Amino acid sequence: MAMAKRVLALFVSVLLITSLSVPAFAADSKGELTICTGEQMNLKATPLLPNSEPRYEDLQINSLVASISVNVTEPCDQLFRDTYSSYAYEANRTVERTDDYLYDEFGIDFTSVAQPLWTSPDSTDPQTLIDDAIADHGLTYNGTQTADIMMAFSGADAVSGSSTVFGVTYTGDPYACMFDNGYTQNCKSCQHEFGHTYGLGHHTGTGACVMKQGWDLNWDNFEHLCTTHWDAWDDAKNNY
Amino acid sequence: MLYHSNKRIFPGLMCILLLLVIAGCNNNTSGTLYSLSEDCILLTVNGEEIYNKDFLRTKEYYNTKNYTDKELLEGIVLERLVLQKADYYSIDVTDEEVNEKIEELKKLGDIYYKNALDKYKTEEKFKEAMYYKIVYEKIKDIVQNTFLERLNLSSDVLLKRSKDYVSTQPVKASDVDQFTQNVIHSYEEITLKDLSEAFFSAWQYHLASESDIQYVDYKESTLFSDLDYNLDIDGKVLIDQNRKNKLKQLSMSTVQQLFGSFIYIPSSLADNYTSIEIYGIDTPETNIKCFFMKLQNDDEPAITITAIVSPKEGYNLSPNDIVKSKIGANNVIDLYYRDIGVHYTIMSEYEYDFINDTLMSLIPFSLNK
Repeated sequence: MAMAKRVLALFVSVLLITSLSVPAFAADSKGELTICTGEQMNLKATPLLPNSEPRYEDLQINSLVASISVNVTEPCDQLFRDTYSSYAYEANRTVERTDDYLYDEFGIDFTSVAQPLWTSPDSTDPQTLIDDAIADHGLTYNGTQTADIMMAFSGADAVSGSSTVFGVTYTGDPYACMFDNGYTQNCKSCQHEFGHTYGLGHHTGTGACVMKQGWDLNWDNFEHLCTTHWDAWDDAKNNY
Repeated sequence: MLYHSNKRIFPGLMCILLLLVIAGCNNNTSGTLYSLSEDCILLTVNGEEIYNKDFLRTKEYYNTKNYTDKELLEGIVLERLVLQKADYYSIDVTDEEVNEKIEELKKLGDIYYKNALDKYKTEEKFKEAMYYKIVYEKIKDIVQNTFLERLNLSSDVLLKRSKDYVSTQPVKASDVDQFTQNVIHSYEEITLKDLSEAFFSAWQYHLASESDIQYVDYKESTLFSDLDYNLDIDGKVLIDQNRKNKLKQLSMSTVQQLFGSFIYIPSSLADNYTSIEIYGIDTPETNIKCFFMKLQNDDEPAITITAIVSPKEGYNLSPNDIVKSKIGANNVIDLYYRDIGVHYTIMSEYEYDFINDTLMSLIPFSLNK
């Protein structure tokens, strides 16, 4: 149990560092585009377990206790807003859910700073969509302020060939875009895309790992990281 | 150096500085904290001093939030009250534990560590903050585990909640039993987590109500006042600390999802009524959520159920209790679970026993003393 907690803590921390580490060079170059896919599926025909809501760490004021805030901006396109009347709440709770354990361990809080109104192009191409989000919003919010990371939320039915696309990231950049498939899947997609921004590849072996592509409706992979990907990250960290 | 070249000047200067420091404190009649010296003592909590520099540092940390000075000071006090329990719970955090945690963070990459240093300026300050973090989490674990020993979940309510959920899912008939068991297990975990978090938050307010707060240079003396709230069903407004929060119409599924760990309204209950009116609000930024539900059939008395979830309820030192009253023709039962910061009300012209049984059948837990 203690080992599992430690692995989980390390993993979530990886995600955090991912978001913190990329801005320095992201402005000048874009990493390789990583498109994350899974088989097309009728979500309504798939049973899924109820999953927990996030905690809102903002409610805890820390004076002596360690706390580190990471600002995340979440442009939401018109399709996402059409799906969720309270789209800001939906985007916010997805991002907040990814940091619950991290907050307990290290006091790290992903703070959702803005949900700018993003008008995405009429496209199902993931690269077109993320490029548009970066161009229209990027890390900027409220006109002049700058977030640490952009996690765009789109309601588009993004596809790659015959596969459903869950998210897309320029590897190593603080920019990611995820495509709505419901709260449970979105939480997993969010962590998965954070992983890519640090340079992690896809998990193709056995065992639970959030970097495995595909559906994760019962959170079998959410908040898990395999040893291989931990080592890959460990090797890659000196790149920054 | 000054005190070598003229030994008389140094004591004189020290006296002047001391006078300046003294003059910088004890002059705050307006409650403005920014004009005070950093070393002024704003207040003491169980004898522990809280300096203006503690406040100013915290203010800087949260400069992007819309906290009032009073809310920040209350937050500082709530944190101190937890840390003050370290001796009571025999919490021991070694340098090795702190260093291990710091090293773990360093291994995770330079950027994170740099980010921490950006905030805490020096490694020593960061280590100190991490030390308090470990202490805080150890205390929280003990408090929550102690609470969980008192907690009994209602298998009946969990089963109803799980069956309602399963009925929304496309499960093959042959898989329903197994899937239902998995759903029950998930809801158990969710309910335990929600209740233990609620308990810890309410426990902090309980500590505040028992604490000895002496105001020194903070003259407002208003911490933890105005904690009352009022749910105005007719006006569809929740008044919390003089803030008016307009209630929104909620769907049954939203209420089930948001409040299910505190009170679960099964779909079967709602199916029995022709008229259902639900309004509520969830305000994470003020840590309070509530709803009211009015159930009615034609020519039958209405039943109104309300639930307010707020850790501030823990500030009231009264024990958990149940209060019967009458408003007009309505019988009213107020049930307070102050341990977890929940206040339930049920109101109807039906007999007390009936409305009491109705309310109790919706609460997914009970607490041993």
